[in-house]
Amino acid sequence: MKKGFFSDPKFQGLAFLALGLGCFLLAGLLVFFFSGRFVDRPSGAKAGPALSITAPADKPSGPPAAEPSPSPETRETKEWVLYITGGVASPGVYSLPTGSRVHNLVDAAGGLLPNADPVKVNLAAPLADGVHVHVPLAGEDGGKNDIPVPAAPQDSGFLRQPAVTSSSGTGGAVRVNTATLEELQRLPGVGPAIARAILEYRTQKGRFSTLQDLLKVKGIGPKKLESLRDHVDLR
Amino acid sequence: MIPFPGYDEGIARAPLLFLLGAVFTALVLGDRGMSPPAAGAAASLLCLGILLLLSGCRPARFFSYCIAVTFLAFLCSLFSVWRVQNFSVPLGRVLDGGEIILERPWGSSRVVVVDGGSGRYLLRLRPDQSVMEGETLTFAGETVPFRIREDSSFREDLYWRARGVSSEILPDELLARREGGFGLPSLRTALRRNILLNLPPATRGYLLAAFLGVRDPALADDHRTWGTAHLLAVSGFHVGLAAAAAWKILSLGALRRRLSFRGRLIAASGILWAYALLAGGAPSALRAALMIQSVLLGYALGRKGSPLNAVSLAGILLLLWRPEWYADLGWRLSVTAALLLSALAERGAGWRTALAASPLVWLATYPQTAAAFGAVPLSGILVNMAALPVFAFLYPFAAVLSIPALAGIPGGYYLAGAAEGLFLLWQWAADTLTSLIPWSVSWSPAVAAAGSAAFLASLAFGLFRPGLRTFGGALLVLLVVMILF
Repeated sequence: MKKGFFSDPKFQGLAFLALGLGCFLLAGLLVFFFSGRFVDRPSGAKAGPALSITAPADKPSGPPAAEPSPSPETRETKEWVLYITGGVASPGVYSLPTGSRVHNLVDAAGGLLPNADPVKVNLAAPLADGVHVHVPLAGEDGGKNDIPVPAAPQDSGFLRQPAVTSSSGTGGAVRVNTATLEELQRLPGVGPAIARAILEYRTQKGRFSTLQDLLKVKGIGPKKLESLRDHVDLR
Repeated sequence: MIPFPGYDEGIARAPLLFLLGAVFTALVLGDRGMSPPAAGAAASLLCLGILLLLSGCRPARFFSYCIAVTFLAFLCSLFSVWRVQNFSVPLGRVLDGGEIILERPWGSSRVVVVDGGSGRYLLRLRPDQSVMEGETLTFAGETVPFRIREDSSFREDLYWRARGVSSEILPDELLARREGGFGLPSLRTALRRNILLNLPPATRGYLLAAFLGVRDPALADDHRTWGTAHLLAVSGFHVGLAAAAAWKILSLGALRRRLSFRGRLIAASGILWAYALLAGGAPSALRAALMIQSVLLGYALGRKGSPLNAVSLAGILLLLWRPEWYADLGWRLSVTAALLLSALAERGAGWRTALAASPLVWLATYPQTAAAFGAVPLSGILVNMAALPVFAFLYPFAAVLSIPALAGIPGGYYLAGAAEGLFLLWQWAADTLTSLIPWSVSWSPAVAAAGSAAFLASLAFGLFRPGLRTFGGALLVLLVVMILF
C-alpha cells in the first residue's frame, strides 16, 4: 500500500511538493532564529568595483555587468577631483587634498614622461576642484594627444577648468538657462550628451527655475547635481 | 555525479547551479550574522526545497541524488562561510617587500598592493608618493585591520580580501624602491604607456579598457550614459572574443597542420589565461576564463557540457578560492548576466533569444545596478543590441590596426586612425540611439521584484520543462527569496 502510494507519480509529486515546502519552512526558521546571533554585522554588504583607475564622483549608471562603482571610499569633503592628461605615466582622474599644486597632481599620475615638455607646465601653479591639466609632449601643437575640451581659461595654455568660465555666468558659474552647448560642457561631469539633453529639456520644457529641475534631465542624478551645485547659475 | 541516463533536465543538466546558489545564499546569510553551520544548513535546505519543488521528472535515484547535492552544498557553504568569518589579521610590525601588483587612486590617497614574501599587503600612500605597477617596494610598518565603515554598505575588507590581500600596512618607512624585473605588472605598465602615447584618443581609451581593464574617464562617462559600461570592463564578452581570436589563429593552415587538436586546445587555453591576467584579473574576466576553459576541457575530453553548468562551475570555483568575491558587485553582475544568457542558450539560440537577451539582462541586473548607482538608463536595452555585434568586430579590428602604431612603425598612427574613425562613428550612433530613449529608471522595489522574477523564471525555464509546476515553483522561490532577504 505504502509502496503503491509513492510509486504513483501524482502522489509522489504532492509528496515532493510538501517536502519542498517543508525545506523552505525549515530554512526560514533557521534564518529567523539565527540571524545576527553569530556576527553582528549589517546586511546587504557589497564590495566595489574591480580594477579601475578612477572612481568618478557622479555615476548615473550602466546596466549589464557594468564594472560597478560605489565610490570605494566615502570622499572626504575637503578634497578636489582633478583630471590630468598628456605626458604623464597614468593620465586619469585623481582626488587630491585641497590646496594641492600641479606638481602634486603630476606626481599622483606617476610623474612626467621622458618626452613631456616641462617648460610648458607650471608645476607650481595652484589647482582647483574639477580642473583639467593637460601636460603637452615635446613639440606637441594640438596633435594626437589633445583631448576635446573647452578652451583654457588660464593663460598657461594647459590648465583647464571646465566649470569656471567668465563669459557665461557670474562668479564663475554657468548660466544653464542661456548657455550654449559648448558652455554647458564646461560644467564638471557634463559631456556632449548631457549638454545636449539640457538644451533639449530647455527647449521643450522651458527655463530651469530651481536646481532640482536639473534632475529631470537625462543623465543628471542626485550625485551629479551635487557636483554641479556650485557651478550653476539659474538666472 | 550520479548519471541519469535519458534524463536531461534540472539537476542532471546543471547540478553545479544549485551548488552555486546554495554557497552564495549561505555567504549572504553569514553576512547577516548567522554561524557557518546555520547558514550552510539554511542554504542547503533552500537548495533541496527548490529541487523538490521544481523537478517534475523524477527517476528512481532522484531523491538520493538530491540529498547528495544538498550535502555537498552544505559542506561547500560551511567551508566558505567559515573562511569569511574566521579571517584575522596578525597585528604587529612587518618588514617585507615585493613587486607592486596593483596601484590605483583610492579616495584622497593612493593604494598599492605589494606581493610580499609573507603575503599580499595593502599600503596607502600619499598622492605625491608615486609608484607604478611592476616596481619593487620594500617597506616597514604596522599591520592594521581593514577599515570597516558602519555608515556604508561598501565592505572595504571584503574588497581587498577578494583580491588576496592579507592585511593593511601603515608604512612608516619605504626602505627602497627600484624598477622591478620582467613580469606581468611591468608588462601592463609598459603596454599602458605605449597605448597612451601612440594611439588616437578613442582607440586609446577602448584598447586600454580591453587589454588592461583601465577605464578612460571620458569614455566611461559616455558608456554609463548609453548603458553599456560593461563594454569597458573586461567581461565574458572580451574573454570570449580573445578565445575566439586565439582559436581562429590556431586553426590557420600552417598551425593546424603542426598542432594536434588537443595541442591547439592547450595553446588556446594558455592564450585565454594570459589575456585574463594581463587584463587585470577582474572577477568577470576570471569567471569567463574559467567558464571557457571548462568548455574547452569538455571538447578535449569529447564531452559537450551545459552552458549553465559551465558558468556555475566558474562561479563556484571562484567562491571556493576566495569566498569574498560574493560581495563584489562586478562578480554578481557578471554571474547574473552570464547565468541568464546561458539559461536562454539552453533553450536554443534563435533570433527570438537574441532579441530577448538584452531586455532580460537589463531587467535581471536592474536590482543590483539600481541599488548601487541610483538609476539605470533605459537606452541600455536598445544600445546593447547594437553594441555587442559592433564591438565584436570593432575590438579585434582596432587591435589589429593598432599593432603598427604600438610597434613604432612609421605611419602606424594613421592606420590606427581608421579604427578611430569607426569608434567615433559608433559614438555618434550610440548618442543617436540614446536620444530615442532618454529616460532612466531609478530604484523601485516593483521593478527590482520584476527583475528578480525575470531572472528566476529564465533559469527555471532554461533548466526545467515549461509548465505550471515550473512557473509556480519559480514564483514560490521568488516569494521565499523576498521574504528571507
